[in-house]
Amino acid sequence: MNIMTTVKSPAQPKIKSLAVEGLSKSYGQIHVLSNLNLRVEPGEVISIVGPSGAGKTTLLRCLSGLLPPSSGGVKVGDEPVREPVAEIGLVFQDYRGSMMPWMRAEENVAFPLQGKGVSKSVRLARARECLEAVGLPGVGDRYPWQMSGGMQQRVAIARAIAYDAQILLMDEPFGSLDAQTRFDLEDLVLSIRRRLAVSIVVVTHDIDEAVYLADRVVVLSGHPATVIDTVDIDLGMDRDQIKTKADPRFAAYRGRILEQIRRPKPE
Amino acid sequence: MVAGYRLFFWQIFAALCVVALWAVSNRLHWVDAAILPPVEVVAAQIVVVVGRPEFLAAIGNTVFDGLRGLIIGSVLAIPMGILIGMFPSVDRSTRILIDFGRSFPVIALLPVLILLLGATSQMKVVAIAIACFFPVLIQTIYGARRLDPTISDTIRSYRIPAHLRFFKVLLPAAGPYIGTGLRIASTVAILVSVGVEIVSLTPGIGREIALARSYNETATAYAYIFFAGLLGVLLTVLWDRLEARLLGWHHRSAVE
Amino acid sequence: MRYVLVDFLVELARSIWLPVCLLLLWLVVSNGSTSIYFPPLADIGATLVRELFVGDLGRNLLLSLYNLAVGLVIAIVLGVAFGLIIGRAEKFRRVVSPTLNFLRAVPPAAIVPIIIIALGVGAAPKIFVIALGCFWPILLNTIDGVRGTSPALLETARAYRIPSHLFVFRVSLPAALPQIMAGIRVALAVGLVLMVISEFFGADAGIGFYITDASTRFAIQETWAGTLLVGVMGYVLSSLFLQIERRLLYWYFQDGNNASQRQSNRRRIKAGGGQ
Repeated sequence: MNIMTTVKSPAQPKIKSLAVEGLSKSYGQIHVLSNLNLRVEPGEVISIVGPSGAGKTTLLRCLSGLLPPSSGGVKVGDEPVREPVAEIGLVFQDYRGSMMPWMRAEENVAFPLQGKGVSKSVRLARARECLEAVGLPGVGDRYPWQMSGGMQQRVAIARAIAYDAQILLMDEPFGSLDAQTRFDLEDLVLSIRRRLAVSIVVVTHDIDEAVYLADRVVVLSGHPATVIDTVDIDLGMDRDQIKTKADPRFAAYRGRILEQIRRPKPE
Repeated sequence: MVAGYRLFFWQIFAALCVVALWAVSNRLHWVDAAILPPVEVVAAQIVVVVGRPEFLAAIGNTVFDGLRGLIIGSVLAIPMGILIGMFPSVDRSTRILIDFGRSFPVIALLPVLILLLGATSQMKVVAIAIACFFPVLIQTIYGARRLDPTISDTIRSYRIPAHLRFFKVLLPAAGPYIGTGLRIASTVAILVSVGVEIVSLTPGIGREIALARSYNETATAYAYIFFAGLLGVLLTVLWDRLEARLLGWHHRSAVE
Repeated sequence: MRYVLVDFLVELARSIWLPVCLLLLWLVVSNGSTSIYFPPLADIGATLVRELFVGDLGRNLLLSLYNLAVGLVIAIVLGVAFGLIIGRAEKFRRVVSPTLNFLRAVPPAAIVPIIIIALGVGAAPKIFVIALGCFWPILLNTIDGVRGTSPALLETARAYRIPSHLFVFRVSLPAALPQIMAGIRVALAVGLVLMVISEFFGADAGIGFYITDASTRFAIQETWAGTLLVGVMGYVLSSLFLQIERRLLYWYFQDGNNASQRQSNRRRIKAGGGQ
């Protein structure tokens, strides 16, 4: 996957950090998240793992401003996040549902830019550029239903990039894709972080994926969920599906996280 | 529960707003009283009309003629629909006829029907039956067409005889669709019933509306229109109840 | 190329053999009929052609179609506009829904005598009645369509901070379009009925007037001819509408995933059956 061109953003602003400060969330009597603290430094890739139902998606929705926290808060730079902010680009698990079926791929990518008031020719050119950057040259005129799941998720990533997001939030982005497509898209994420000045937060239940992608893995567990461990992943910038995953350090990280997740299970 | 009461209160309030708008437009002469009489006069007429001897007869005529037409139309449409849905070749060759029939405004047939049958209840029932026939037919065809391939394979491999296949498999499978067809058709029955009565002055709500209007009693006409609307609402409520009870399994399986 | 043509002809034959046979049957059976009520089809046809091109029928038809078109356009504009607003305002919708349900349950034909007799024989009262009757199915279907917008799309639009004018025209409207078109299809049938009925009442022109006028004069052939013409018109209009719908909803009909959703949409169509 080295065919990618570089995507130059019109004006490259200084990237901001993303900070979670004492965040709790409950729905009525059900406490989902309890007093989470987390900081994503500029340019960092963080994975959030946890067993299903641990509130990972709730956390991501709070991070993006789609869901108001019950207490505590989220900050991008120094600004608190209350509604979705321009610095954050979201990639949903439901790639099918997040594409407007009446828009072609490039229109889908360009649509948020229209909301920013970018002129038509500029935003379409940018959409094409970003589609190329995610490995989809020349498919801009296809409709979502003319593309495979993997392609649709690439379009969703292109949309987040085109939006000039400094922070990409991905919610189980590759959960419903087949293994090979999944590996390709994981490598796409790594290549994006190498080429672009962005921070990335990936929520996943797949521990291999979490370790493979991240500089740091945050392990969530319990009811309500808390951060039970933070693992720094020291595998360098250049990773490879076969070599990295065969690395003994990879296995060690993996084992450590797996143990964390399994331990608190009540009998 | 409190929220429920509050919602109900607001709903009443919204309806009252419409009435108030009506009253204001009367006072300020926005609309001619010949088109929209004062709201209090219409309200009084709604009460007066209920006491009249022809009121129940009119409602009864509209409802029962509608029902007769609905039953005749459906009895013809359901078996025919299943047959058409079962055989793709029949389906194709009847499509133009059905499309023609369903897009035909039955009201336009009235002059011909009146010439043939006279302005009688029979004529009204025939018109209603024709109008009800098509929605039931079309929905039944959908239902019979969409038989699950696994089910049809099962039937074939167990060599289920034709009459059992019809009554035990196709009819129940098409049931929810037939229900939808009947629901649409019952609304159609009331609408056509009233429409025919207005045009041909056959007994029923529509006749009362047309007569009241021609005696220049517009308020009385509105009183009957109010009851015609109430009839429609009642029908919707009845169907909602019935569907919730009967089609529970269908919705559940649709979620899967 | 030749095979394509042959295939096309075979397909055509398969779908039109039955209507053609029935028409021929009617032609043969009615041939030489002396019943005044059932004139020979050949005579009706001849009358239809003569009246259409030489007589008044053509002018009357165009007049009626004009009223229908204007009424329908008014209903579409108002119904879609209000539907987009009410569909987004869930609390408001719940408050007004009993009132709306009552108003749409009123048989539109019932107000025809009042409006037509009060306002006279011109085009305006007919257009008003058609617009009023067509408004409800379009409004209610638009509301349903807007409410049916998938939550994933709403989240996406929020996450990417789509401003509200863009959201209405590029998200809500297209998302509701399949249901809006279903509403317009119902409205077309309602409009056709109201067009005919309003011309039965106070009119000196129009296809409905032509039919009643012929029947009161006991001009049976003209009555049949006018009635058949209304049928053909209904068929042509709904076929035309289907073509427009397929064009507009290209993305919708192509998407295999919508097949089952389409079925359920059909079941949800409000106030179905225009009669």
